[in-house]
Amino acid sequence: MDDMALWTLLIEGNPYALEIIYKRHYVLLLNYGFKFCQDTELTKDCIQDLFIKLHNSKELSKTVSPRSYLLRALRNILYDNLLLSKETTRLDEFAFHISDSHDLFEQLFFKNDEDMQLSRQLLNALSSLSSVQKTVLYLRFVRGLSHKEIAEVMNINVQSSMNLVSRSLVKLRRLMNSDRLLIIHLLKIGVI
Amino acid sequence: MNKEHKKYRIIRELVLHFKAQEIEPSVDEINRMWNSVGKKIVEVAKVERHRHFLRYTISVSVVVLLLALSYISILATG
Repeated sequence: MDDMALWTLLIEGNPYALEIIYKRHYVLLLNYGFKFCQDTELTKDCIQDLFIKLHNSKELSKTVSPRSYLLRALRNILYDNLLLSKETTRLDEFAFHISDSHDLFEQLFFKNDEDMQLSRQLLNALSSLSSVQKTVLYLRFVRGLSHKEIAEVMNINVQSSMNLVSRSLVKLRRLMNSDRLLIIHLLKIGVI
Repeated sequence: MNKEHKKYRIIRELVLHFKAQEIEPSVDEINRMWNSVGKKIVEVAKVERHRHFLRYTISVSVVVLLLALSYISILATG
């Protein structure tokens, strides 16, 4: 059964629909929430709150995509919770976070492997992207959301979502190329 | 390396990078988490029922009190 059919059942008050939606999207929500809040327990509590609110809500309406509705609602709940706990006082502090552990690459690739070098460059380039750019790349390529769904999560229109993904990729490529040129230059002048 | 090839290689690396950081809870853990949501929903429903019962009781008490007062005032005025 697809998400939309389940959502319709949920609106009609079917108690099993909520359970199926929860189990289907738990991993997605946990990982998405964890990108904004590195406290796993708080993220789990927020997912729990989200589903309790969904269960008690008397005003649920049809949505473009239940998946994007859940992602957006979780981000709002997380933000409210962090604001209450005074961990985030400004909206720009509530950003999409990517671990910058270099050990990760050594686990994935052999040392000096070309892929590892590329991944290191990628990490450096990723850290230069804005939170919104990192979020759209994650949703599009890792979680496989459509542009329509990304637009709903980010509260933008579909064309903006397409432009954002495309520009983020172009920026990544440009940053990675300039990184490569910098390494060649540093090698030439004997710094490394 | 052509432009398209580079683009897909970056996407591949990007996906690899993110995937390596993903949390993959087991089916048992997901079931356990759902059970705790279920329990919380029952608790919230219980509190809500109790609150509803209190509201109902207070409303009925107020109405009965008002009726009693009206009756007393009628009796008093003869």
